[in-house]
Amino acid sequence: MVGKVKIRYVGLFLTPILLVVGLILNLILGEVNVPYTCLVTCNQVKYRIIILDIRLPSTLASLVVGYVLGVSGAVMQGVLRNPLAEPFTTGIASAAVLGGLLGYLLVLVGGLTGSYSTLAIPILALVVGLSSSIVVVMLGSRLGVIGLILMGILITLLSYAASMIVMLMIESINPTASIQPLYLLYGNLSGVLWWQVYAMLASAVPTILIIIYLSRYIDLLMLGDDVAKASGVNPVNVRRILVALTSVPLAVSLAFTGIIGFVGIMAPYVVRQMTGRGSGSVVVPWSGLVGSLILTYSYLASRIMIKGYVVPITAVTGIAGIPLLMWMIARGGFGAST
Amino acid sequence: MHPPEPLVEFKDAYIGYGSRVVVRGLNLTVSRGGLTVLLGPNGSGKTTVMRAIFGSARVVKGVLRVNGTVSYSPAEVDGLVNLTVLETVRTARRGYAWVNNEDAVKALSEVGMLSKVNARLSELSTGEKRLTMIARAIASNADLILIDEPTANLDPGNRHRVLKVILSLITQHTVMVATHDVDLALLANQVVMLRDGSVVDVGPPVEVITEENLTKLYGVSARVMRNGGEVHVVFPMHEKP
Repeated sequence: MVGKVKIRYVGLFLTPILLVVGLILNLILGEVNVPYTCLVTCNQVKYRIIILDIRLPSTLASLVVGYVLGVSGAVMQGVLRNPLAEPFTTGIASAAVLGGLLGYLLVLVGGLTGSYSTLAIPILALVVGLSSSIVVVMLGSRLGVIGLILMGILITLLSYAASMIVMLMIESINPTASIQPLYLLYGNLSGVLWWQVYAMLASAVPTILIIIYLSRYIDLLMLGDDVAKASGVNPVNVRRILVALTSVPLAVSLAFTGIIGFVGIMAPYVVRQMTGRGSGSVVVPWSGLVGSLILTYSYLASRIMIKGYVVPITAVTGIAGIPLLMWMIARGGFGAST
Repeated sequence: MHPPEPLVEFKDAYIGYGSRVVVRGLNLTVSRGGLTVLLGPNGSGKTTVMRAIFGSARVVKGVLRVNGTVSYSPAEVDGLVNLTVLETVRTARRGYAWVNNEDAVKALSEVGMLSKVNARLSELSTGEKRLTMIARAIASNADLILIDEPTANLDPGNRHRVLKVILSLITQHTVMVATHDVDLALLANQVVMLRDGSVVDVGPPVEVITEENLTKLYGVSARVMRNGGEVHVVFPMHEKP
């Protein structure tokens, strides 16, 4: 018992420290290794450009997107009363991919050039992703947990079907076109620009603060709709508000960095193990932090794993995450003791 | 002086979900203090009556008045709930505020669950889960505590623990219980017998727990034996000649 408690405190203490270390490593390691003294004062312009313009925005993106995925995973697992739920259970990811493809089609058909062409893909990914969430929240939540999951599955199927047709249309217009928006499928943090980091922060900070403020309502939802209702809380509205709040920063992150899997399902597991607690007021904020930690190191690994290549993030999070998840499930059952 | 307002009042109420009516023509008044038992077989509409009180079921026709706060403890806490015992009790609300730690711990000690405050709800036995949910109701300080099937699927030891907690609960709170357990009904101030959504009989247990009513309720012949102050109810497997 004492040993277990000690391990818990060590874990809580180490998470922020490891996170900061990971962020620093991301700034100095990579294709070019920047001397660490450069973090304080840097005389060489080359290094300054690498750190400030290339690595800092991507590193901050890994921090923000990791936090968003961790929080969203914790919210979804609580709201859907299912430890296997993840941020994209409502179908928002496949809808965002469809949006990206539509954006690309628009570029080809409309002959867009310049900044219009670079903006079309993320903006449509954002719009279609958010619209899908609105549909799921409006139609699904009234039917309870099953309704939300069912709507999510249907949205996913619909997006796949529509994506197939859009891809064929793109190919019919330009048979040699490499279908650019497919990068959304694999998750990519390299190449994130400063304005995109600001957009992600602007969408994430206010929504996540509200989610954390509301996180104890998740506990009430976990005990069932009747218990919530008897306590004077409308479970349908709470589910709607929480799912809607997560979908805003999720859609923005998806539009710029694509689908990053496993972080959202893993982080809450790790937090429940680490803290021994299940309340949203603990699991939600800590899942964000653990999500940032996982994504920061995954991003680092994705850049230094194979020299000269950046491995897709989801490949790294999957390779690291799936065995961990398998071990946890085998050890504790489906959330029974996690 | 006016008589005190009843906590819950159903007047010729038809209750259901959407357009489906489950309970028909219910007349029931619950005053402050004591135990009201909704007695009937599975599917007779007991839970629906409770759900009407907190708004999960709809009163289609007739009147329902509720004057006070309510706490509900379901028969089963479904899903893979990862909350600890203490966190579960702390989901209780007093008005618009969450229950504080001190009140939660006090309520858990009242039901004898203090040794398990940090255990996961999903790791508890059915009886312990029910005791935790009863502690949650105590902590909420609700005017009316609704408990659904408190003794279903319990071994004799756990059943005894739960019954003892309910007995001490009714000295300070107004409690309504839905059950098919006749022994629990014998402890009540008021018993409402339900079958197929209709009331068979309402009244104190000495009046309504009769062989005729029980036979009507469960569809098998019942024997009620009175021995001094004690009442025993059996459903014999073999008819006596």
